Amino acid sequence: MARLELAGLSKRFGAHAAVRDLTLEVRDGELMCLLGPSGCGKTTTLRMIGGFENPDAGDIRIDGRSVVDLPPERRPTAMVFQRYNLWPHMTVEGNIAFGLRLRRLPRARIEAKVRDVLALVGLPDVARKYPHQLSGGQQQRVAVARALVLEPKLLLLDEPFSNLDARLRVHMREEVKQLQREIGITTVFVTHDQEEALTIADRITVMRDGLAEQVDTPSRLYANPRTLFVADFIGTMNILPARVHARDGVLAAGPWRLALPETPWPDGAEVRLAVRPEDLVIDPAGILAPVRRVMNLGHYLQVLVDVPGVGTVRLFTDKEKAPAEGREIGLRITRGLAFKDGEPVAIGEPARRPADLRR
Amino acid sequence: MSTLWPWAAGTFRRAAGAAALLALASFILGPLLTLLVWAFAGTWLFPNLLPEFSLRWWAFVLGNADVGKAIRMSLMSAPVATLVSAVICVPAAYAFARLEFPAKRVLLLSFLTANAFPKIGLYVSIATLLYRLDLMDTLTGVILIQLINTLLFMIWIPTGTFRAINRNLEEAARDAGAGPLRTFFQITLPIALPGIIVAGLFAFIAAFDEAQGTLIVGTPNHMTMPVLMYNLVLSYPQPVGAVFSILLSLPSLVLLLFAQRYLRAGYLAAGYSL
Amino acid sequence: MSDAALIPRPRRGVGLRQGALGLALVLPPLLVLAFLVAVPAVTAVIETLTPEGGGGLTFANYARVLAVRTLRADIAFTVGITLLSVAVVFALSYPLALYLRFSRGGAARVLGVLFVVPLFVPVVIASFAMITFLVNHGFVSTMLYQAGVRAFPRLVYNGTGIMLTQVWVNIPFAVLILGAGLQAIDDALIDGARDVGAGPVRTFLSIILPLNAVPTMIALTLLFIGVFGSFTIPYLVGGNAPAMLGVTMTNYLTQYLQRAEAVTIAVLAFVIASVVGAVYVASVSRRERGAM
Repeated sequence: MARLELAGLSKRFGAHAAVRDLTLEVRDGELMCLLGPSGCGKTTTLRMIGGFENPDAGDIRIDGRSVVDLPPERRPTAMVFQRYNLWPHMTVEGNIAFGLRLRRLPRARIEAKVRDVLALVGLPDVARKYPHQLSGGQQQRVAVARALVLEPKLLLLDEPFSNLDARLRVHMREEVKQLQREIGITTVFVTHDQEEALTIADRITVMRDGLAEQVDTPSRLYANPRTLFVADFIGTMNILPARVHARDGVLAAGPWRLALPETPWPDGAEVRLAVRPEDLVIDPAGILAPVRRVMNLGHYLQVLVDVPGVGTVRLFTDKEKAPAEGREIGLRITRGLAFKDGEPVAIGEPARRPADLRR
Repeated sequence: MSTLWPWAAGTFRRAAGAAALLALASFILGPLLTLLVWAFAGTWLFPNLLPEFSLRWWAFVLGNADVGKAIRMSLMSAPVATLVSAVICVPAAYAFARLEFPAKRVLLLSFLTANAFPKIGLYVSIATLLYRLDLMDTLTGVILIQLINTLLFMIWIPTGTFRAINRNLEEAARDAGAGPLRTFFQITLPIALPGIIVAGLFAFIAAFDEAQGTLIVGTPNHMTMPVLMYNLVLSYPQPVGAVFSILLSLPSLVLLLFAQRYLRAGYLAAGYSL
Repeated sequence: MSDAALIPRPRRGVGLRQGALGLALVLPPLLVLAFLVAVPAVTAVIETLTPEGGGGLTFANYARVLAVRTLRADIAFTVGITLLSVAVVFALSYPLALYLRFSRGGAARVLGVLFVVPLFVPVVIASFAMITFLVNHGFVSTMLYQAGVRAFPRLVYNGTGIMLTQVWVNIPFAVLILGAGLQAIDDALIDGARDVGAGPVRTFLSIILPLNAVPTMIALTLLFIGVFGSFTIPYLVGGNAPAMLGVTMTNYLTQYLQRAEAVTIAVLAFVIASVVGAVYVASVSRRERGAM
């Protein structure tokens, strides 16, 4: 049962600002993902929470109590590192019991706890083994067990699956999510893999250049990105150049004419229009454009279409509706987000009288 | 991997390689084997391939009072020098590998000056210093001389070893509740131990091997084995030197066997790649 | 700036504490170094520059020492033998290091064990073993005699003997440093060069040699300094004259009891070695900087 607050957290490494004025709240029992490209400050943030880096400014509070002056060993946090994090000279049992022994628990209690936590991560029989005798996935499970056995208030995970192969990675993240739900521990999870973040997190903080771009649930991040960066980073997105025709209430993106509900931008302003592949639908009445390439992605197809004045756009379609490469198809935009500065503007139905606008 | 070594392809090249290998093996092992044979020779007259074997030089060497004294002196000084070196250098190596402090690079490089000096010039000067401190012809003086030769090994190899340890391993221990000292002794040190053992082995050999300075600082009453070896080589028949050589190499051989698995594990190369 | 609103938390205290701890930890070996190397070395240099009776500055000691003809011969001999030994060690070590790095056969495994053996043999023993091996009527002579040869080359108690023993003693050290450098070269870089059509020699000259330049410089300079300042090997394996400087200094001190001359020669040797040492420090600092 724990709540984490970061208030105005900043950290510089020489001239490089790794984290800039980050304020964030992680609720009790929540799994928060810090997501962003490498160098965005997500790992530095996590290491500051764990006590491995000292912030230049700002505060870190757990359950309202500031921990910023405590060394790592006195913080109620437990971290699972990217890799190589089991002590090679100790058995699995020794690794897990290390922290318990420091707390001078009776031997029987320690044994029971080690047994329980190993059962919890699904490895009941490895206690006497050494780390090098385990597979990568098993090692990472033991690392999670070693963190959990201390019953921390806060579990910190630093790209814990990045060293595992793709199949195991997917399996492990489901397992960790399941485990986290079961014991209800507040968790901060760092990853650069947006798919991982979307599937595992309760909420996601998208970071870029040390700043939090957006903090939101996965579904809201996907549907309502607040910045062009988030729009582009989360999921697949077509980014099209577009121009505002304020007097007509129209947004022109290449040959498309879309209704602009309000006009926060001046006439003639250049904006970027973000359109999800699923919001581009095949419609014979839409804009005609040649199909460049059709790719089979298993249970659906990805289609690349060259739209004049816009470039190549990407959309998904069922296998039954496969268009032929080189042939023209009609495309309609059902929904999009226009970005310039400030809040994005949601674009809905196409303009009612597209013919009037063809000049 | 073997494709990377195109020089090794072809029958002719393989034969040339085998010849080179044989030549190198004879060059490296030949002198040692000759020495070994000499140690068990009564007399070895030219041009016989093998001598007439005898153990009588062993009796001569082992019965010599100077030899016993030198062995005692060597076994008292070299391990102490190695231990002292380890105690003062391993924490320093950790600092060089992990902590940030002013002039770190310059200080690390300064240990290399110990190697850039012609030793004899140093020893003459040190002798003056030790004379003033009343340390000439004492065990302490001999240990100090040996210490100079160990510093570089005990700083370099452990620094490389500590640097190679993933910081996450230490951070995980801090996370589990261990303070900095406990983390060092229970996590860092055990993981670095193979590298430190290799460093200790080299430091011991360097200390044990020291003769030039001890000759100046330790005479006449504190002669170590290698110092005595000078006399034996220069003024006794060959088998005496050979027998004594075997005695002299016993400690490093024993340590070598003991540390063998660490050497194989590549810690040796790691130490040199600092 | 939004940062201005925050209470600044100056954490320079942590850096200061770490700096102090770091210095405290490196202090003991540094003190040993100062006490046993720096102070004696500086004392020696000052001593040679001070006229008898004290006061002022004089180069009389150097002028006197350099006026001795045999001593000039010793200096030339020392430099010559050192360069020759370094060249031979290098010529043998580089191919060996390459072979150990790039092949995986049984021969490579045997060699990998074999070449380190001299590292564990005390130099006194190595010198003595070389004498028994090379001496007239020694093992090599015996083998030559058995092969029908009746004229034996003089292999010991001269420059050849010193050179051969230096090679024997220094091979492991050179191979280890060069090998560690080669180990750090990514296979992909070499494969890449082979891929675009570079032959083995070309690959070695254009890729391996430049990439391994710093370890090579370090190996060469350390070899030079080590051989140049050696005593035991020339003392036991070398002849009477010309002698290497390590032996000359010791003779001046213990045989002729001319302390001032001994120290002056030592400083001269140090000056020569430190010119080469400067190359070494430059190489190491270049690598240290590169590693950051």
